[in-house]
Amino acid sequence: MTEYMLPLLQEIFTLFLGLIIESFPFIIIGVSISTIIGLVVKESWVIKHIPKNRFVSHSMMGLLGIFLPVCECGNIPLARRLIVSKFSVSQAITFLLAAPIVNPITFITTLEAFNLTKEIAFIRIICGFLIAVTIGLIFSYVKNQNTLITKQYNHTLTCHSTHEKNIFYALGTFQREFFEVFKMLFVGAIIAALTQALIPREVMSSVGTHPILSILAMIAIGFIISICSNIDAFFALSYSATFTIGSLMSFMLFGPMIDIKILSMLRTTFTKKTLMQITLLVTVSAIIVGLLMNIYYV
Amino acid sequence: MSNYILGLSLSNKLSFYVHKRYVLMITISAIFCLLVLLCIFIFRKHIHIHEKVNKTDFIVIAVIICAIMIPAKPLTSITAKQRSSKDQEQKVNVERIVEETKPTKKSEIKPTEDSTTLTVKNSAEKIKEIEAIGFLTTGEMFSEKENPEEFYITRFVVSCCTADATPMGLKVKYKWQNVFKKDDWLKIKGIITPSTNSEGKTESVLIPTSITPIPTPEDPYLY
Repeated sequence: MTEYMLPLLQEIFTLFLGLIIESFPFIIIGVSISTIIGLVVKESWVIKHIPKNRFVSHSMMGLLGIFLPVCECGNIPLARRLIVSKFSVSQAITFLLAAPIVNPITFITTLEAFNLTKEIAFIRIICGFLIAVTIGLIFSYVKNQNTLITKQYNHTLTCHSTHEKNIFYALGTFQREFFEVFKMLFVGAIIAALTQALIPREVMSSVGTHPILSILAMIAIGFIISICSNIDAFFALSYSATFTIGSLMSFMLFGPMIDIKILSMLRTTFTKKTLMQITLLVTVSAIIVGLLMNIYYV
Repeated sequence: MSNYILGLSLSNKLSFYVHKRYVLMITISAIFCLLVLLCIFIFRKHIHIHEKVNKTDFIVIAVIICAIMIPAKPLTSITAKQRSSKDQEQKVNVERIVEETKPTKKSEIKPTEDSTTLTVKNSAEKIKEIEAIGFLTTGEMFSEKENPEEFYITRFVVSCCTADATPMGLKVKYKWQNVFKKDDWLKIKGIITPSTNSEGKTESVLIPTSITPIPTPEDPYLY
C-alpha cells in the first residue's frame, strides 16, 4: 500500500507544482498591471469616460484583452481592479471571460496549432467574444451589482476609497492582491492535481467520436486540467484524431473561461451564486457552439 | 514560494514542471516578487499590511513545507498509465538515427524542426537503427498485462506544464524484470522491426542492441 501511495503522492505533488509554477509569472504580471492601473487611473475618469450604453460598454470590455494579453490567472487581479476603479461588476465579468480568448497571443497560438484549418482561430475568437459580452449583458440587468460580489470584497471596496495613492499604497495593494489570489490558486491547483491523478483520461477519451458526449467529455477535461489559454490549442490539437471538431471548440471556449483553478481564485471576489450562474451560462454556450460545429462544420 | 522557484531554477529542475520556454519568465517573476516583498518588508511601517490569517493560509504554509521536504521529480509511469490511450499514435523519442535502411529527407522523420519525435508507423521501414532515451513503463500503460519479456520506452510531450503532459512510448523486446525496474531512465540503441501482437495486429517494436541506464535528464520532457 505504502509502496503505491508514496509515488502517487509524489506524482500529485508534481502535477500541483506544474500548475502553480506555470501560473506564477502570469499572476505577478496581472497583479503588477492591476497595481499600476490602481495608481494611474482615477475613478472619476472612468465614471466620466465609460459609455453609458450597456451594449457599447460591454463590447469595449470584451475587446480590452487585446491590449492586456495576460492569460486567465493574470486577468483575475485585473478584473478585481476594474471593480475597484468603478467599472460595473458585469463589465468586469465580460472582461474576465473574454480576455483569455480575445487576445493576440491566444489567437496566434490557435492559428499556429490549427494551421490547416485557420478558420478555427477566427471562430474561437468571435464565439469567445460573443459569449463573454452576452453573459456580461445578462448580469448588467442585476440592479444592485454589489450583490454579485462577496461581502468581504465589498468591504475591500469601501476601505480602498479612503487610502491616499502613493508608492506605499501600491506596495500594500501588490501584497494584498498577490496573497489573496495566490493562496486560492493553491487550493484550486490541489483539487485539479488530485482529479488529474485519480481520474483516468481514457474514461473521457472513450466517447471522442460521439457528437454530444465528446463535447461533454472535452468540457470536463478542460475543467479538470486547468491549462493556460495561451497554449491550450496545442493541447486540443493532440485530441483532434479522436475527438469531434465541435468538442475541441467547446474545450477551447470553456477552458479559458472556467476551470477548477479559476473558480477557486474567483471565490476571492464573486459569490457562490454568481459563480454557479456564470459556470452554467458558459457551459451551455460552449455546448451550443460545439453542437453547431459538429452539425455544420465538416 | 519565490525562494523555492529560484531554488528549482538554480538547480535546473524547473523543467520538471513546465515547458522550457517558461523557465526564464518564471525565474524573472520570482526575482521581481522577492524584490517587491523585500521593499514591503523595508517600508512595512508605512504600509497597511493585511495580517488577518485564515485556514487557507495554513494550507499554503503546509504545502510550502511539503515542497521543501519532497525532492523534485518529473512525472513517472503512474501518470503515463493514467493518460495513455490505446488509440494513441505509436511514437518514440529519437535521440539520433544511427542507420537508415533507405535514405530519407529529414522532414519525413522529424515532424518539426525542434521536435525529436518520430512517428513509428510511417518510418519503421525507412529507419534501421535508432538511439532513444526514456523511462521504463510496462504494458499496463496501454491496458495490457505486464510482460516480463517486453516494456515500453516512454517519454512525455509537454506543451505548457505537467497538466498537459501526454505520454508516448515504443515497445521494446527485452527480458527486463531482473535487470531494470519501472521508471528507470534508459538509453536504448536498437532496430525497429514490425511485429504481430497478441491481438493479431501489426505493430512496431524496438529490438535493442544495447541498453544503458542513465540518470534522469535535466530536460525530461519533449516539446
